[in-house]
Amino acid sequence: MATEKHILNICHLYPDLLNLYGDKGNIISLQMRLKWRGIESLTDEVSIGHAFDPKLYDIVFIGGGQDFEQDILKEDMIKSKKPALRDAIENGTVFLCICGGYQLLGKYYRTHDGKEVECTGLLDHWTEAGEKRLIGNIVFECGFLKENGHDGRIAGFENHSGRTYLGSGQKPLGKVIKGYGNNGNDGYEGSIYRNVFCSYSHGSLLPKNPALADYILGRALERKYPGSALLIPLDDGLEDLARRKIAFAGFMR
Amino acid sequence: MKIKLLTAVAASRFTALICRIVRHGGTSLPGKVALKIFPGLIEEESAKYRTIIVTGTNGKTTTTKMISGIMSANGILFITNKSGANLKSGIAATFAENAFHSRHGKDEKWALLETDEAAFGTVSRLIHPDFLVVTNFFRDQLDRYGELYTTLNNVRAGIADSPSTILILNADDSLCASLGKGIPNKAFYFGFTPSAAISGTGGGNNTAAANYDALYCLYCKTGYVYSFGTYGHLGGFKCPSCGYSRREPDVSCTRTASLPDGRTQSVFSVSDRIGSKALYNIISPLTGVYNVYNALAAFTCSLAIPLPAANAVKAVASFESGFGRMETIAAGAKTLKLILVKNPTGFNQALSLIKNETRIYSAAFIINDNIADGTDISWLWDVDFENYASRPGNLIHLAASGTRAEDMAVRLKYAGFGTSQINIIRSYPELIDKGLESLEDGGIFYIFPTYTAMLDLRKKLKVRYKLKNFWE
Repeated sequence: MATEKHILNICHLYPDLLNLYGDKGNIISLQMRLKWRGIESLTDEVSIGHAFDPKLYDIVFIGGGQDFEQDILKEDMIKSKKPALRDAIENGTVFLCICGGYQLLGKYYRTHDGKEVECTGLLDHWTEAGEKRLIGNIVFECGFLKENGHDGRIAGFENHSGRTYLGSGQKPLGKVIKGYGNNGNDGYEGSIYRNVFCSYSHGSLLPKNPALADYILGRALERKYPGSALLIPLDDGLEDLARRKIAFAGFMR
Repeated sequence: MKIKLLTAVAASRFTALICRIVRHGGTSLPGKVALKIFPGLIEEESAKYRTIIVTGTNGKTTTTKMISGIMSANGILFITNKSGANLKSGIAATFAENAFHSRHGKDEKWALLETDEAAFGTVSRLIHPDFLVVTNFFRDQLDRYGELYTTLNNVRAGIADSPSTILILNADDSLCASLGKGIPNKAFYFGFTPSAAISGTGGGNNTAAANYDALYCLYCKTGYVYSFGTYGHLGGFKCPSCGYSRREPDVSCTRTASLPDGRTQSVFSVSDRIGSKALYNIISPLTGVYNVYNALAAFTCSLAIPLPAANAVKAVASFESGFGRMETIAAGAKTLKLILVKNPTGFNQALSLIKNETRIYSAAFIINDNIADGTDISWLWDVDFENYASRPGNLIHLAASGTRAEDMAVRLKYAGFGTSQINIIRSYPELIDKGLESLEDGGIFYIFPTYTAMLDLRKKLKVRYKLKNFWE
């Protein structure tokens, strides 16, 4: 362990607008897992009209919201913040984007009546509204988590009518085992581009999937403090109990 | 028509009887049967009553029961739906059960109906209520309704079809209050004054703004400015852009405080818009800011009818909390307190109650994810357990239970409790035993169940402590 004090800067983007479905739990998971390892974190809340500094943050979190709230922030996100967000993404800043946040990073959202609503276009995916709401517990498998005998399964809850399709510039986050995933068709959930992790999964996503939380933290720490092994293993017995209950259940939709 | 009604009523009552015999308190089947036979049942029967509908996200049942108490205190005959039977089927069953009981004219009998916000539109088009009480709007069971604004607009559409309905609305809730704008209906408003908000009984400071709904003007989407807040998004809101702001309530709470025995004392100020200008000293056995709002709603409805204020004051003082919402059960020399939790706002309010507890206490959180509870438990992460964990007071035993006990345990761990403190106890008898045995005499065991957990828990407690069946 190094003797210098380690600290990660987290940005919670639009916390007052994209705060539905308990996604704040992801920030809590990251903060606590750092704290339990003696690593400090500072979380800034950045919303409409606030400057977003692309160099400052190690992790950026964007949650989900209702149409009403998403409408309010579109102008700010697409016009004002977009250049800084692009810088941050291309410089390897770690992002975690859930549901609405996931959709907003894509190219567009096509509504029921065929209207194409512009999104930030920062990532190579797009979303189309569907008839049926895709809702229920979801289990998907992340290949990159299947080391050291870990089963790689993520347990969450999805609730979206948008169907997201990935372009060639995007990799999926995982393969759907039970549930719908991005669009209910191609068997994929979420997306990864550089250090930007997107998912439709609530739950919240990270708290009972500590392997994923640590993977994300690992990327952020490696980028900021290359070579220092800071992620000591934690006792994740309780989290695993919760995760396995959903991840290995024979639940019905 | 009469034959159809007779048949429908008979079938409904028979079904209800069967349900009782097999001890299944499910209250939606009798109504469904009745409507199948006679689809016009609600329309026809409701015309024989003067009707009050109570809807909103939180506080429906408590407010309805308070109005019940007020009606009784005034010697008024009324029918009301059984607990939880607040969808169309439950309302149909209520009318079927009470059909043919009275030959009095319309003016003499009242129907007091708690109605689910999602069912309100359908129901109100059949009933056209004389009075509509709307408590508030908060996010709740997202997997069921999708969006808060959809729910609000459904209620708005229902009101649009009933221009002679008198509305009783929450002035401090920007969403609820908007229901009274731009329509011909008469409307009366209830709310807090800034001074009461400061002297509040706790729960005023909820959690980080990150969890609030409705922070942005629903007309022009500019952020509201608040001159005061009571809880959640309720308070003295004003839109700096289009000017939409909280109007002066007709009945306001000007002061509120907790009494040493746990009851709440408030002062309600009545304006001459709704009655004679006067101040009333209101003592309620319930705690928490949100219960003062429920009392305000019931009191305002009573004045609007109009009924004498003195009877309402008496009724609120002798109020007995409805099934399970907040129920106190004597367990020998110790006490059980059941507090139903359905959504983050209600849960935060419930946690603020135990923060004020000075006795030694146990706490158990029973979280189910059945349909009626909401199958998405993400909402637990919008509840401010961090605040609770930072100062839990005289907590001696902590447990998690229910179909999602593990998720609840994880929530507590990340809130700051040590894993050795958190007990996962799946069996209810064991949960009750362990919670009680750690207490000394005079200690109190707080249990926070979601809806179906509470039904199951009460079954166990009923036998032990001889409680009433929940459908009574």
